[in-house]
Order: sequence, then structure tokens, then C-alpha cells
Amino acid sequence: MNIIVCVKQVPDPEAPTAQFRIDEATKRLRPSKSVNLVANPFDMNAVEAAIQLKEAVGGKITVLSLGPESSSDVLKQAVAMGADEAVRIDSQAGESWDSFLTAHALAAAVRKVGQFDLILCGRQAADTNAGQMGVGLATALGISCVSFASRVEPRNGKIEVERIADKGREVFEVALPALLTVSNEMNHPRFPTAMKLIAAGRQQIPSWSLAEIGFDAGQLSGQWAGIEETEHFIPRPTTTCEFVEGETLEEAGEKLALRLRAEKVL
Amino acid sequence: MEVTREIYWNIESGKLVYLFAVLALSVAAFGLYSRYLLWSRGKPEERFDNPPRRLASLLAYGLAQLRVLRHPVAGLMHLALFSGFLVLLIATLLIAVQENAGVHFLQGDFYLGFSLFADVFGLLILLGVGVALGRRLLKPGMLETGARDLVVLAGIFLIVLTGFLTEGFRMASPGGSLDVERLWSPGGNAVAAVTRTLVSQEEFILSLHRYMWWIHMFVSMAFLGYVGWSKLSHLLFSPLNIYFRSFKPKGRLKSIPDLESAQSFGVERIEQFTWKQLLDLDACTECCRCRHACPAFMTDKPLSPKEFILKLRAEMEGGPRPTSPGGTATCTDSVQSAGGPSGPRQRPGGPSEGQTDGSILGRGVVSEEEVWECRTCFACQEECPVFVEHLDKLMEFRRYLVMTTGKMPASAEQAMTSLMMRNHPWGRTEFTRETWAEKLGIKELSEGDTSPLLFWVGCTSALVDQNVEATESLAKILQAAGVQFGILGSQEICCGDPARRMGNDYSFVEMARKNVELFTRYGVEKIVTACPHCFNTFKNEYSDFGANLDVVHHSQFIAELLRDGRLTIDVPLNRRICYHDSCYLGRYNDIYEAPREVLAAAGGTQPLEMASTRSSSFCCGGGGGHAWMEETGGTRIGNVRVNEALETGAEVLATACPFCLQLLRDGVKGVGAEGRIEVLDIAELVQKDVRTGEKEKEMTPERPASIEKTTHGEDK
Amino acid sequence: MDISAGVMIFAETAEGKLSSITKELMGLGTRLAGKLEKGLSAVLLGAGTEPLATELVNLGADAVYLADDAFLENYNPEQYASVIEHVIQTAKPAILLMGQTSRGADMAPRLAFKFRGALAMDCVELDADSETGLLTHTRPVYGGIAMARARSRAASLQVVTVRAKSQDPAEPADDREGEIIAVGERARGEYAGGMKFLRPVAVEADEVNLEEANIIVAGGRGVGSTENFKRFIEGFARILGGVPGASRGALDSDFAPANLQIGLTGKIVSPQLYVAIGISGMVQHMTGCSSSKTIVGINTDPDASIFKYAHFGIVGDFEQVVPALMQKCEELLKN
Repeated sequence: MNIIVCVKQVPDPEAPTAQFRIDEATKRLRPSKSVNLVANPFDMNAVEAAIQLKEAVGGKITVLSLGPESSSDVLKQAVAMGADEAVRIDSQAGESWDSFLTAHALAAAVRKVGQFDLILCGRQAADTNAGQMGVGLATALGISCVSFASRVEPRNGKIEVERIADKGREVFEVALPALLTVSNEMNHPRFPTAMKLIAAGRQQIPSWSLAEIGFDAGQLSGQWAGIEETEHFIPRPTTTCEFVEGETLEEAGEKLALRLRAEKVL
Repeated sequence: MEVTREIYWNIESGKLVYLFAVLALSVAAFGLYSRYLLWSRGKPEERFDNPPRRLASLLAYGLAQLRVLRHPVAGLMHLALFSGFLVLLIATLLIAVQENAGVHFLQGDFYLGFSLFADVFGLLILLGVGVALGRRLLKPGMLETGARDLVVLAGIFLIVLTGFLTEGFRMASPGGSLDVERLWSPGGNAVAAVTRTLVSQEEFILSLHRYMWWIHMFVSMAFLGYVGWSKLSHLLFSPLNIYFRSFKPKGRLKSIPDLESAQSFGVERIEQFTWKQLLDLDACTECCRCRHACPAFMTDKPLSPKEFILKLRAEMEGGPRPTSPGGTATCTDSVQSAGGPSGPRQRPGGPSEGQTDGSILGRGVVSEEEVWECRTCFACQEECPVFVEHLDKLMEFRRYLVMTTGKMPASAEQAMTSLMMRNHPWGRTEFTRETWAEKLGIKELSEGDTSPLLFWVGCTSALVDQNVEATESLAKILQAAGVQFGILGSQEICCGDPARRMGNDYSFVEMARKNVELFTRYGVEKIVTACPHCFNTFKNEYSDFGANLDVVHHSQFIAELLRDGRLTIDVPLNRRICYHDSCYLGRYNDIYEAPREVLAAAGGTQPLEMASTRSSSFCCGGGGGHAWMEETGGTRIGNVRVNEALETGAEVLATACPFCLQLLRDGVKGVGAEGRIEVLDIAELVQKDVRTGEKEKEMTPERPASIEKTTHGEDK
Repeated sequence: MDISAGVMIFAETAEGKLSSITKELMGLGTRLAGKLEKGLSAVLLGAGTEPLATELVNLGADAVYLADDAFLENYNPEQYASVIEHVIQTAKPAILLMGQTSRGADMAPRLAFKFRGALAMDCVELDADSETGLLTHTRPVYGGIAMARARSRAASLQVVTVRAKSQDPAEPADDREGEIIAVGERARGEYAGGMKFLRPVAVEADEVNLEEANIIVAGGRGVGSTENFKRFIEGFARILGGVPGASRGALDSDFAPANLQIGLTGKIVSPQLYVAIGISGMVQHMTGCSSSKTIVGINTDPDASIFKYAHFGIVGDFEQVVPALMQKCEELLKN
């Protein structure tokens, strides 16, 4: 089974919230210099899923990432875990990427890779939280797609996929080629062995330019509506505790219930 | 007639003793040699350097038995047996020398002294056997007693008993001894006296003596032969092991020489240990001291350092190998195949290189669980009378698991992943390395700065809520004393200790290289840190990476400031303080006095001592990566330690390590002692005094408080 | 009212009823349609869903596109998408509102990409410009650290998914009128795609699903006993419609079973509401829950670190606080 995995580098989602501040000039959230760039956690679930499928039925895993030079680190991580090949698609500074453009650029890259049976993406990115790209890529390629996949098993040339429903799970049989967006329930990404880390560390990650994959953003302009972000803002200081008090502790308890109601938490 | 020893008195064909001696020695030698062949399968290791130091250590720990004597009863018992046997062996050899060298020196007063000496030590042995038997029977939990142990004790007892009987029967026989000799042989004389009252026929006593002489000889020779095939081999292996003991700093783990090109890491098969690591396995005398010092074992976790060694010994002997053809391979089989020049050993049906199922861990000889239970507290090695090195071996298994197979407990993996992703092991935290410094207005070093003294904060001290206060205290102390120092702030990364102790030497090496680069960039010559783990790694392990640093722990630094008068404490706390020795500060680096000195100043009196203290200190439970791993099963180690602290009646449990601080605070909650005892870092205690001083000043303005004094003196 | 260029909602059902998000979408849809002065329609798919169409009318739908067909009983995304595509082509809405649910979040990108529209996921606030018809929306980014405001660039199909419990639900009224349009056989077409629904899998009711829970009431060692854990933690969780959780302390003291553990080696959760009772807030525990949207801490120690993470806190004995809190919550939730 030939598998393509799409991964993305994001600011560390575990970084202290205080390290994210709004840049007054751009009105965008800006992580401080202390925040590392890391692999999007769900994407690592996708890489792990690919490795497990390969271990079960054989095949080749190619990992793609659309991003700047630093994204190579994420690709190296995927290689250290067990991916066979990795290619970075140079995102070219200045281009403003939304999920439509990203999906179409990745579709172009997938076509350049050529033969594939399955594409795996993380269910959503930790920065945009959108969860559109995977489904969008499938639509752009015109292949079947299961989102929020929590289990996948090869079955006679097809795959059996379980996806997370609002209540319980739904199980599908899907013909290949197909795309899955992988949820963290599917697996636990492995820790790379030192040998593979060393080997991956030495590896030069090849990069393709947008021209090389035959992608021209200009051609697509005006072909979709899209949205434009106007500003980011931080809703409230998350670490200030509002102490609810009352004449008695019982009264405090009741007041707390009312406060939660007012905040629409209840 | 001058008193002397007539050799072979009443004995015919006595010279046969030499034949039996040669036989017994051959049997023993064959046994010992077969063990030697086992170790020789190991990889080479340099342990032949510095013979004078090695000899000195052999005299101290082998002959004088200083380690054995750490435990007085067992120690004296062993010393009695050891010295007794040594004396009797020398006595017997002297007799042989007299017989064959043609020199008559066993006569006159010298012989009388010789006789008394031998008798007294013989009695000491009997006493020792009694104590040994008593310990085994009365305190069955302390040692594990099997038939083999009783055979050895019985053998010792019989040798000495038959010796005394032979001597006594001789003395009871007509013409067997002079009166004066009997006076100088209390043991023999007592036997003779009893014999005479019981037996009147002289001929019968003579034959008793003859028979007993031969019995004594046979028992002794059998015992001698048995040395090569039983735990008595420690007579040879223990001194050998002591002679070849490690002299590297305790806190330095072995580096992996060819890290970048290695195809596997750690130990998968027994031959991947070095010869010395294998000798260790045979040197173990099963005295169980390591077990009783082990925080994991003592709190009912599935790890016993002794069992760990014994399981590996069984493996070395070629214990059950399910993959071998025709069932169990015998000891000699494996020796032969190892000795053969046939290249890589074949293991038909077994896994080839790289596969894991045939490994020591894969076959469950040693379990992954026990490998992870170790806190690397070093108590086992500190206790071991024969210098068995448990830790290096255990670490090889962690390295195998983590680096070769990528397997580890989930919580360890989270820490390790965090180390790789964000250069600290704490995962999600609401702090950054600069949070505390921003509060105090301390700027981190930047391009072009030079700072000979670096205040190395460390991940835990900077990023974990309950450790930050101690960090701030230390910074304030440094400022108050007018110390010029720099911090790395956001540029600081983990020192690498957690990675290394959890078996990931690859990450350790990467971090160490980066840090050394940083030190060079800012011209760092001296480092002060509050974390004993960072301290240990910098001091003992960074030299491998070209760092030549003066590394000081904050306890030492503060003690020096106090000694120099740059920091003074006017109003001591006057609270009952007891001090918990951190493993990596105390046992690993022998720093016991500095923190006590600081506490004596801060508290006004010498700190209280817990039952386990200094080199016998009991771990908090947080070493070896356990600050990040959940403690499951058994009693919580921190709880045990806090209970010990409570027994001293202390109100404050002082620590000098960020992990101890955390785990002991958990321990206080664990035993429900909140409000009774408070866990604080020594820096916080000093800083509290300073604060107390400030309050005092407010009330009585004429009296200058310490912090003001020092600040004015040195700080602009 | 003119359905074309109006607002359409994707109606979802749960156990034979309209799901609560659908009522919220109707409330939001009504407001937005009013701004645009256009009609509000709903698309309702499933088997045996016909009776619910009237309910949608009562909630304010001018038109309900009803596809009540056995083949829609189970969710096949491709078949669902093709039916909705057909409806969109027929009704030509300018705005399509869906819930940020398993199906809504799956369907929204399919449709937005298909129609090359504007797409915004997981919105908590939405508004429309009555002149241009362009939507502005607010949605969380970076795991909720920040909110992003954005607007659509074109008024052609604008697809959004809406976070549950973020909107006021529509109130039903019996006197409303609306058209129920059956989506005919034509929409069904011949399905030649590669997906086949095999079976639903129930997640066992008694197996607490902490990771997906919206509300968690967690107890620590401070809870004191197994009885207290049952009464206050599990009891409170039941009232809130949430699930119970536990810290290491509670596990060590045997108050709670291991599968409830939240923290370093337990579950990592991020519910909308996390109530921590008798939990001190050690990092190892907070690692597992600090990304919860709202954290409530109840602890006797005012310096407990839980209050550094909590949004709301009460300092005091939980045995006094929690019964009153439980009672009041029960009252509030009944209304």
C-alpha cells in the first residue's frame, strides 16, 4: 500500500498561553521566541497510522509538508518514525495560504508523487483549528474521504475505517484510493529509535518549488470565495481566577452556579 | 625439652595431605577457571590503570573490610570469620613451611604465641558462625537462606570443630603436648580436659586423634575444593572485584563510544557487557544490603538490585534459553561456543541481530518493569561491600529499550518527547524560563556579553510552579551578596540528565554539545546551580564534551558567601529543621557539609538528622527520570521519607534539590502531614531569614538588617 | 420569503428528535435571514424524518427540504453530500449553517470546496452585513488561546459550522407556515462511489469517555472517601450531564477507578467545563486538563495551584460548597 501523509509544522500547542500575544500592528496572535515550532500532533497520529499499515501490508510511505525551510524538522521526525521518503514543498514567503490554496497545492504535489493508495492527514491543525484541509484535498483530488478516523484496517484491497460520530462510531468500507483525516484516538505515535533519529538527522530533505509541482496560485485566484481574517484577539486572561464568595459557603456554591450560567458554561 | 610442634605426630602417611591438597586445589581451580571463562566472553574494558590506588583500595575494603563494617553486627561477624580463616590458613601454611623448608621456627615462646593466636581466632570463627546462624534464623526477612548457605556455615563450623577436636585429642594423649603448650591453647586444652574425664583408655584417645586428624583434613580439603563451586568463590572474586573497581566519578555514566555509527544500543545479550560487568555478577555474595538500601525494593516495587544481579548471573551461566536447540544449553556449552573462533555465535531458530525477541529483556530474564523502577539513587552501589556496579548495567537495558527499540513507559515517553520538542521535560507548563527573571528584572545574556559566573537555573527550577520560589530566593541571595552573574533565560536548554538517566544518550549528547557551545559563547568559567542533577552532569559528565568548568552547587555557594561574610543572617529562623540529602548531591558528589552549614546558619542550630542520612540517605523517589514518571504500586517513596522526617520532630524538611522539593511536598500530602511539616529549599530558608531580618528592621530601625548591609556594600 | 440567496441550515437529528444544535442553528438562521431580509430554509436528511419537518417549520423555516429515504438512514458522507449538493443547486442559499458536529464538520468542507465558497469552522459568533450579505465570524484558533475574527470575501455560498451551545435556540411557534419540499428520487441518483456504511459501533455507556466529554467533574485526594467520590463527584457529573474524572491522588487513595485518571499518565482532556474538587493542581494533573475551556476549582487551600489555572474558584470545604452548587445547577438546568 503506497501511502502519502501530509504534515504541518505549528507553534507548540503545549506552550504556555502567556507566550502568545497579539501583535498590535498586525492584530495577529504571535507566539514569543520561547515557543518552539513542532509537528502538528494529529499529523503524527497520521504518520503512525501509515507506519502501522505499512507494517501490516507493506508498501511505501511518502510524507509531504507545505511550508518554509523549518518544516524539514517535522519531515525528519516522520522519517525517524519510519516514513520512507519526505518532500517539502516550499511555501514561498509572501504567499498567503488558506485551506483552499493549500489543498490544491498539496493535490498538485500528490500528483507529482504519482501512485498512491491512501492519503492520511491529521484531523486538524493545532494553530488554525480548522479541520478543512484534509477533506478539501480529497475533494480536490476527487477521491473518497473519511474524516475523524479512529481506526483503519486493510481489507481485501480496500480499507475498513471507523470514524468518530457524535455518539459512538461509524464503520465504513472504503475503496482505494482514499483519504482519511486521522484523530488522536487512532493510535499513539511511536518514539523514534536512536538509530533512526541519527539517520534522519543526517538526511537532506528534498524540496520542490511550487513551479516544480505545477502549481500556480494566480490561476486559481478568483475561483473561490474564501474568508479573510481581520484580527485575532485573546478572549480573556485565562489564568485569573474569579473567586466566588458568599456569606456562607453554601451561598458561594449557589452563586457559582449562577455565574456559570451567566457565562453560558451551563 | 623445648615446646614445639611435632608434625604428623601419631599420624602415618601424613604426607598424603599434599596429594589431597593438590586435588582440592585442582577442583577449586577448575571451578574458578570456568567462571573466568564466563567473564572472558565480555567486551574489553580498561581496569588495570593506577595499581597503587587499586592496591590501597584492596587493603581498605578487602583486608580491612571497611564497607562490610558499615553494618556493625554483620560486619564484625564477617570480620571474625574472615580474620579467623586468614589466621588459621597462615598457621597451617607455617606448619607446612616448617615441615618442608627445614627451618624450625615453631618452637619456644613463638610457638606458644602462635598456638594461642590460632586458638583464639578459631574460637572467634565458632562465635562468628553462631552469630551468622542466629542472623539467618532470627531475622529471616533480612537474608534469603538456602541449603547452600547452611552447607557453607556447617563446613566452616566443622573445620574449626574438627581442628579443635584434633588438637584436644592430641593434648589428651600421652606425649602429645607439654603442659605449657596446653596453657597457651585454651580451645585444645578444654577439649583435652573433657576428653580425659570421659575417656580413660590412652590407646583409644590416640586412635580418636588419628581419626579426627584425617577427618579434619578431609573436611578442610573438601571445603577448599568447594570454594571454586559455591559462593565461597567470593574469597577470590570479592578481592578481585574490589581491585578492579571503578574509579570514575560516581556520577558519570559510561558514554557510548560510537554513538553516531552504532547499529544497536545498550545490552541485548550477556556478552555485550564488559568482562568487569560480568565479574560483578560473580562477585555478588548475596548479602542483600543493596536490597535494603533500595528505595524501590523497600517500598514494594518490582525491583531488587540483588535479584537483578543474580538473574544476570544465571543468564551468564547460560540459564534457560528457549531458543537453543535441544532444550537448555549448559554452562560449558556456551563457554565453548564463546571461546571458539567461529565468528558471530549462531543461535538456530533464534532471532538474528536487530530483532528483539532473543534479547535478555525480550525473554523476560530481566523485566522492563524492574529496569524502569530504578531511581538511580546509587544506594545499592554505596552499600555493596564488594563494589558491584548495578547502575551501569541497568542503564544498558534502558539504553537498549529507548534507543534500540523505542519502548518506554508512557510518562517517560512524554518527558522524552517534550525534551526533543521543546528542550525541557515538563510538557505543558504555564511558565517560561524567563518568567521568574522578568519578575526580578534580571536580563538574560545576549550576543557579545561575557559572564564568567553563570547562574544555571535548570528546567525544573524555572518551569515548575512550586520550584520557582526557591529560584527567586537564590537569585535574591546572589543579588543581596553583590554577586555578578548571568543567566541564559530563553536560551537555556535541558542539561541532558533526564534523557541520559532514562536511557536516551543520543538526546543527552545533543543537548550537552549545545550547552557547551553556549558556555563558550558567553565565556562561562564557573556555574552555580540549585539542581544537583544539572550539577552532577556538568561536573562529572560534561568533560567528555570539552567543558572545563568550575561547577558549584548553590549549597556550597551560599555556604561560602556566609563564611566570607558577604551574606549574614542576623535573626535565625528558630524552627526545627531536618535536612534531606539529595542522592545526586550527597552520595554522588559527597556534598554533605555545605547544606548543613547553610542550615545551621539559617536555623540557628545544627539541623536534625533523619534515621537514614548522609551516604545512607533514602531517595525522595524522583531520581533517574522518576520526576516525570508516575509511581505505581507499593508505598510512595516520598511518603516513607516524610515519615522519617516527622520522626525527628522537625517543622521544616529542608532540601537542596528541585525534585526532592516536589516529591517530598507530595509526600507531606501523601501522609497527611500538611501543617505539621513544611518542605523548603535551603535558599528559601536563607531568604526567609533575610525577610525576617527586614521585618525586624521595620520594628527597630536602628538595627541594620543583613540584606541591606550586604546590598549597600557591594551592589551599585 | 425568498429562499434563494437566503440562509439554509443543515438539520441534524439524534434519537428521532431534532438535535439541540439544530435548534441553535434555527435561532441563528432566523437572525441572519432577518438581516438579509431573505428566507430561511432547512435541509433535513434521514430515514423516518418526515414528522420533524413540521417542527422545523414551527422553529421558523420558510422551507424544509426533506429527504426522507431508507438509504439515508446511515451516514454515507458521499451520498449525503450529493443530496445536499442537489438541494443547494435547487435552493441557491447564500449562507449554509451547520453544526460543528461529526457530520457537520465533515460535510461543510466537502460542500464549500465543491461550490468553491467561503468556509469558516467552529464559529462561536456570527453576523451578516445586511448590505453586502457578507458574514463576519469569530472562531477559536490556537487551541482556544485566541479568537479570530474574519469575514467572507464573496457572498456566494458561505458555509460555516457553529459550535454547540454558542447560540440561543429558536423558540417554536405553532402558527408558523412553511413549505415542505420533498427531495425526490432524482437526488438519490445512482451511487457509484467507493464508500459503504458497514455498521454503527456503540461506545459502551458505562465506559466513561473522558476525552470526548464536554463536562467533567473531577475529584482528588481531598474528596476524602469513596462514598464522597460517588456522592459529590459522580453525582454532580450526572446532574451536569458530564462524566466523572479523578486525579492521581484519588486513585492512590482508592477513591476512584484507574480509567478515570486525568493527568500525565491518565487521560488528556479538554472539556468545555472542568470542575476540580479537592484537587491541589499539581502540574502532573494539570497537564491533563489545563486546556479545558472553563476550569472551576474548589479547594480549602487558597494557595493551591488549582486556582492558578481555574477561571472560577471557591475557597472552602467542598462538603459545604458542593451540595448547594449541585442543587442550584440542577434547578438551572431544569429550566
